Formats: sequence, C-alpha cells, structure tokens
Amino acid sequence: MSELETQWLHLALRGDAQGFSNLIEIYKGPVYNLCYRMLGDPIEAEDAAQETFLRAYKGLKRYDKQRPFSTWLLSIAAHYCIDQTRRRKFGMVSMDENPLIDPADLTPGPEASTVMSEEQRRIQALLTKLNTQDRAAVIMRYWYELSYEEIADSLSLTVSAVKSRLHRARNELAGMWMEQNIPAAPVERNYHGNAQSPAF
Amino acid sequence: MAMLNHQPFRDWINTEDTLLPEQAQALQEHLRTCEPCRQLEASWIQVRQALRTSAPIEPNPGFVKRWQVHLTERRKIQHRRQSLMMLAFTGGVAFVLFLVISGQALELLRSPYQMALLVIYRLASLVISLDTTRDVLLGFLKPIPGVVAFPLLIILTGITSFLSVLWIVVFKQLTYARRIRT
Repeated sequence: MSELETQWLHLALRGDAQGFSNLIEIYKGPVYNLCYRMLGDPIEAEDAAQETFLRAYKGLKRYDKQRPFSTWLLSIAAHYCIDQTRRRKFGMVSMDENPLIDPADLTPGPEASTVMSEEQRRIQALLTKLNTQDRAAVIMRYWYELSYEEIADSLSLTVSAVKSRLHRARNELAGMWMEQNIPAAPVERNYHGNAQSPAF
Repeated sequence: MAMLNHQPFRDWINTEDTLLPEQAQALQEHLRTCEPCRQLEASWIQVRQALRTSAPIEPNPGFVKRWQVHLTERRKIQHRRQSLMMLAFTGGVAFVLFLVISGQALELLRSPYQMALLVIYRLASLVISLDTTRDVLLGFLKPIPGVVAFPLLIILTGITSFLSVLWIVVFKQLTYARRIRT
C-alpha cells in the first residue's frame, strides 16, 4: 500500500467518505473483476462490487493493517458473491431485497461490454460450472496471484482445504475443456522447473 | 487401462507442486502411451493459458459516484430505521403507561366514592408538598440579600437556556445523516 493510500485509509478511518472514495478509485477494478468472474453477470457484478465497498466502509475499523488492503477487499467481495450465488440457487434474491440495483445503471458500458474472445467466454462459462468456493479459489489464485495462505485467510478455509479445492477445480476445468471437443495441441512441459508454474 | 491406474498421473498433471524426478519420468512415459491423459494435460495447459491471458474486466465509468449515491441512500435508510425504532420505543412506553393508568382508572371507577376521596387526598397532599417545598426554598433563599438574588436568577436562567440550546444542537448532530463531501 502506497503512502498516499495509507493517508486515504487514515482519513476513511476517521469517517471521511472522500478518503474512502479515493481508495475505491484504485481498487474498483480488481473487486469488480472478481465479482464478475464469480457471478458472470455485469449487473450483478456491479451490485456486488458496490455492496463490497459499502460493507468495507462500514467495517473499516475491523480492518487489520497487517493484512494487504486489497486482500481484505477481495475477501469481502468473495464472501458476498458466495452468499449471493447460494441465495440465487435457492431463489432467494429479489429486486426488492436489493436496493442497490438502479435501472439507470443497467445499460452495460463500453468496458463491461468489451467483446471477449471466444476462449475468454469459454473460460467464463467453465468457471460458472465450478463450486462457488472452488471458483473463488481459482479466481484468487490465477487472477490475483494470491498465496495459499492468503486464499485460506480470505475464504475462511485451511491451507490444505484450499490446495484440495484448487486441485479439484483444475481437474474439473481440464475435464470440461476436453469435453468441449477442442483439439488439444501437443505441449511440452517441464515437470521440475517453476517456469511453467500455473501459479504465475 | 483401468481408470484407477490413471489417477496418480492425472493428479501429477494438475499438481502445482514440483514432481520428484522419478515421478516426472513415470509421467512422461505414461503420457507417451496414454492418449486420454495426454489430452487432459493439453487441456489443462490451455485452460491455464486462458486464465493467465484473461484481461480483468473494469466497471462502467462513474463507479465511485454511484457508490457515493448508494452510501447517502444507505445512510438515509439507516436514519429512517433509527427514527422508526425510536418512535416505536416511545410509542411502546406510552402504551404501557396508558395501560397502567387505565388500569388504575378502572380500579377507581368501580367505586366513585373512594375515587373522590382519593382525588381530594392527592390534591391535599400536593398542596402540602408544594407548601413544604416553598418553605424549604425560602429557608435557603432568605439569608441571601435581595441584590444577589436577582443576578443569580438571571445567571440560572441563562445557564438553563444555554444547556437547552446545547441539547437541541447535540441531538440534531447525532440524529441527522452526514453528507458526503465531493
């Protein structure tokens, strides 16, 4: 966290919403991306990202400064998205329950409606088929390069549970990709080195 | 080959841990002869590549402005909820008091004679209490010269007014939702 961000955080901790708005300007991208990857819908992602920042602002006093601010925000977002997915599964989400959805904001903007490549669409479709916690672990690992410990901390899991979830998710993703009859090109892999590590 | 025999190789294909040299060699040999495992490995590498190259998606412009609007709305809702809770509490207390008073009134209405006696008794007690209070106050104030009593009265009135205004200001500050500086 830069010195300026620390200053904004101190301002926000004193109840200054403008200080927190500056922090949102920096972290809105990663939080929105996580919500989008988790929920697969730009409107729900916008709503979840907004709710994440509202919850973070409300619970700012509980933020542990030893932890990266971004990880803390991603943790809030992941938990919210996991809850939303569960609620959606049981048909518990309604427009009345969610005051943040504003019809004026429903039109997707140029960024949200960016044309994704076919491969990207396929990845998004595969992600939505994963178990929600597995999905969150995959997103945190492959988009945000979080360590097992950080993922475990963010998702309230043990490190071994994270490893197990990631292993299962990788198997599922590869299996589903294969089922889509995509011709797999021959590959070379170094099993000893870290250069090919999927964890970046 | 039975499915069970593939499992260790499948685990090695998808592991993030570095394989031991003998495991890596065994996997290489297995992949040379097993088409499904080769396909699985190729698929995982493609998925991993797609995950790596996937660009992060940005929200629509004006995200922070929308958040500020939501925060203001959320505070209004919270304030409204607090007001309603306060109203409900006051109403509840008033209702309980009403019930207590009604109970007493009903008790009294059953015997009008006793009620009349009680009212007279209460009024007489009140008059006596007021008289006693006046005597006590006069007992305190008599020693003070007349010149001091008047400025003291003014000071006391001033302090009381100031405290009342201060109470109103503090109450407003605590109950009104704060606005966001933009």
